[in-house]
Amino acid sequence: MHLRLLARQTWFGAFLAAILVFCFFAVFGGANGFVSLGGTAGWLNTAAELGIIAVPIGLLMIAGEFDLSTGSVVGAASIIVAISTSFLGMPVIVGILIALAMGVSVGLVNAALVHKTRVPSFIVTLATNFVVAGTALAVSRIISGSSTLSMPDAGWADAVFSARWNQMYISIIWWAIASAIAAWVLRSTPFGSWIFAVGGNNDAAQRAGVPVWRVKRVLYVWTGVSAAFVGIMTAIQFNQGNAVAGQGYVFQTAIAAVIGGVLLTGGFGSVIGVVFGCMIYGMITIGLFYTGWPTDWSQAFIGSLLVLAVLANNVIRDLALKSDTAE
Amino acid sequence: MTPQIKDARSKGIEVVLYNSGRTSWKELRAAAFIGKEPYQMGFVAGQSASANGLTNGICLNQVPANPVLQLRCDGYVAALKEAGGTGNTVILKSEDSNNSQKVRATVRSLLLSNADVNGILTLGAGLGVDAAEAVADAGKSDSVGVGTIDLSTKALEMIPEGRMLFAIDQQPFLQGHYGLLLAQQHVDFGLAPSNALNSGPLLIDAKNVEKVLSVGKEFPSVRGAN
Repeated sequence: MHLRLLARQTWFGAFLAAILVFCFFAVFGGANGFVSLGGTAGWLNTAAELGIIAVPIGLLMIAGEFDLSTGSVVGAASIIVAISTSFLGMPVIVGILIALAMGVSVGLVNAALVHKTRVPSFIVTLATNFVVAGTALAVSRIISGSSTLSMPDAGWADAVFSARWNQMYISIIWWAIASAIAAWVLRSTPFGSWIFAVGGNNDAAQRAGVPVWRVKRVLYVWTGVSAAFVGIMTAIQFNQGNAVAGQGYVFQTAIAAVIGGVLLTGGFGSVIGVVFGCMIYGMITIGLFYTGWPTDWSQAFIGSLLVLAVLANNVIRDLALKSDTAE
Repeated sequence: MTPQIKDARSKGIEVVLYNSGRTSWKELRAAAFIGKEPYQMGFVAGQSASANGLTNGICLNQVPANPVLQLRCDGYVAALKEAGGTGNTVILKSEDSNNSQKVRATVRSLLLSNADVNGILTLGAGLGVDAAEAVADAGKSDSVGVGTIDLSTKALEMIPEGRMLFAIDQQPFLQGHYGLLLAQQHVDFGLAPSNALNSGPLLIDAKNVEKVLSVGKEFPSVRGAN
């Protein structure tokens, strides 16, 4: 009975899939250090940066919308911090605030465009992704003559954004905090119920008095700010801003959410599931290099493992639901 | 660009190719070509690596299926093998090549899982910086040597610090400068070199990096590094 309750949690499938993936690489890459502290830090660091964005993306997808503009926001935020501190000589806090404000603006613009045009958010935010990337590139070249710029150490900001212990970055803690906040909002606040309602049936939610567009606007700002946060963090971690960085996040964030059990059509999912989804993605993309297998196959291999992870997740969820109705 | 070049030639407009077009410039009836020799860029990198005692190298290719990048990696591996060592190409996902965290985790994993590897070549300066940092994180600065193709100020600054062995320069400034000269001399005087001109590779290592860095400070656009 206890187990059955556990299996009915929306994140349980992703949790088991994560265990399976971990065991897979522990067997085939364990001898080369996959389970060592350094090896664990490697995939956990990448999962953390992905996860800080993927968690709010998961909320937005549960509410039935996409945001594919986060990749460009990461790059734009990183070049804003680098230009303002190293080229314009401003204190690092100013750069951070400008970058966060940029993230808020992109979120507001996304929400307004989706609302006003009624064009699917998949297309609208993909377009914003190009606009933000192009603008970041052009503006940084006008100001500094280059699209990548190194920046000096950032004092207090180094402690906040790039501290690390045994190769594990502080981003893992930020990821945990971001996930805890999101999980609390989704499970324990009226706003969380609205997210499910909007994604489950938009029109019904509207008729029931849910402020649909306010919910989506808040979520778009949340994803934009989270992406800006990651951009700021990477700029300070690696002492470099890059206007075209971050494009990997465009689809990886949505992929991690889906692996974590979020339904592509909205209305279903959990924050803990997305967290496991990010871990799975991190382990699969980094773990392969521990196996020593030829890397020409890496893309095919990553794709196959992703499908297997999602299938395992679905099978477990269906089993749980079936055993429930049989009772 | 082939259709536009053919179109220009059919209208009697003279064409000079630079940077890319090494294999097709004569066929397209261009007056001249100046550019890098991609295989040689990798080969010089491999020679420099073995001269520094490296015997087992990995070439990180972040744009799989790009023939020019593949040639660079082939050249690196061939030079290592010629010196009695060995080498391999490892494919990075293109979309992640700007993600420093991922590049570093990847390089660390490669070093952990291939204990014999003592050389890394990257095909971009940003990747080179990430690779050098990853080598330090893995505690292998003493045994593993990193080199890169193409320049950035940060990558160049790592050379005198001993964290980067070399950077291979294709000297893009020369491509633009001589490209224009070639065009002008061909149109005004009917002059043209009979072979493709090589603007690179130029090996930048501890011996000549100070000069490159000081030029970069005084004339930021000449070295093409930032």
